[in-house]
Amino acid sequence: MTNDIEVTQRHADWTVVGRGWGHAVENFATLSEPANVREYVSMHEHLRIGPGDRLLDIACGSGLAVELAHLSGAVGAGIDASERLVAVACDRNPDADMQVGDMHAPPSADGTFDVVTSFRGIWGTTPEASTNRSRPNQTRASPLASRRCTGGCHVGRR
Amino acid sequence: MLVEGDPVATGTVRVRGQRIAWQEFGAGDGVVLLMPTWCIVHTDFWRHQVPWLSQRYRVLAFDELGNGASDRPTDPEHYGDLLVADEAVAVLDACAVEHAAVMGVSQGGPWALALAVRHPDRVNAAVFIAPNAPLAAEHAECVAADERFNDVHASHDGWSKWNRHYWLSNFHDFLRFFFSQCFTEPDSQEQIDHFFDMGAQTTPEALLASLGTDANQLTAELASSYARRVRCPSLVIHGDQDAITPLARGEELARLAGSELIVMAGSGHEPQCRNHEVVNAHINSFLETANVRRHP
Repeated sequence: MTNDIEVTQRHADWTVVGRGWGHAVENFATLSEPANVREYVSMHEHLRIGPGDRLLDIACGSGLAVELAHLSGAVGAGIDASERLVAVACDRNPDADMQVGDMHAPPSADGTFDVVTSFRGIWGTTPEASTNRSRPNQTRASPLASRRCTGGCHVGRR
Repeated sequence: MLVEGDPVATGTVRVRGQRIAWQEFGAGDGVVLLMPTWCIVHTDFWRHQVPWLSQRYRVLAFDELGNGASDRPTDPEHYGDLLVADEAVAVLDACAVEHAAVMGVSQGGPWALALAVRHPDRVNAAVFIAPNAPLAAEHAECVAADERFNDVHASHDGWSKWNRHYWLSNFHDFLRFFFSQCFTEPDSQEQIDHFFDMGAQTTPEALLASLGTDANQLTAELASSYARRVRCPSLVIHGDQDAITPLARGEELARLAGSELIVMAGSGHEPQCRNHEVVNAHINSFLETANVRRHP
């Protein structure tokens, strides 16, 4: 077999990804995220999120997971490639630091957070994602998430 | 391999001597069987449905021969529209599932149709997404490319990449072209990359074999007969910008099978991926009303 293009580790420009996810922000915010509430709450309980925990949600979408974490007392933050989704996330989380940006290069310094979560923001095909795909909700989920955590932090990925 | 996530069980079954890999997710009284599609991708094309469905249902998925964790035979005798139902029944048996709601995308649509008609006791609801059953004409450019599939071309532009020799010599470029046609929505590079990664896990030899033999294909006459014999509640979802499977095919299946029809404006061939928010909501509503769960 001869192939003209090698399979390489790459990813689409994050602004294109952002536009792609932001094309139907109303549907994502009102149909998709609410259907995941059980999952968000279950993950937060699994990670024992409590008062004062500094939590970053990577690919935070329209911010429902951060909002639920806030109800448990966490100090939430989020990053997403979609400007339109983050606009909704800001409405839902007026006191949280919600940013538009590239999740591979979040503006926060390494070690800023106690907890990092991501719900389908990091796939096995995502560059830098761990090969630990057999237990994706456990801590070695992703180097890009782990770097943002303090020592002994928790990373939750679904 | 297969769908990303946390399966509660995995396994393989052997059908006609070939190994079929399956995964099970979630829990619940109701069971959803996600059919594979053409082996140019593996089962991770359901990645936006599995986590969501498995919060409420027991979800089964398996890879078609030719990709993912299943075998990749290069003999066309192993492939065909009429053979996949046997694989689905073997997976249901292996998981001790009496009946399930079955869902299929693209070529998985006619495979789900065949399963629903040939094994009506095993299927209690059916969802057909962009179903590629031969119930209406193909896009003209696809027909033209198909007629010259075995010819040697001086150059390959657009659908002329749908060609045996081009697959063998420039497989990855064919994949990129084909998936660009699957995702006609703007800003779909992430999805095209994902599908390319899946496509790169098979080989042109396996893909050529997967075109099967005439004896195992669903003819227009048989597809029409099957569609009229669907007895379970059914739903057809089809994008009106589908560049692979004409909307007319979904419309005709819905008409013949008496299915609920959802036409998604602006959607291409993979609405379960590119517009999963809306597709999942429609599936949820359909499953609720179809009373798939025995104890709602």
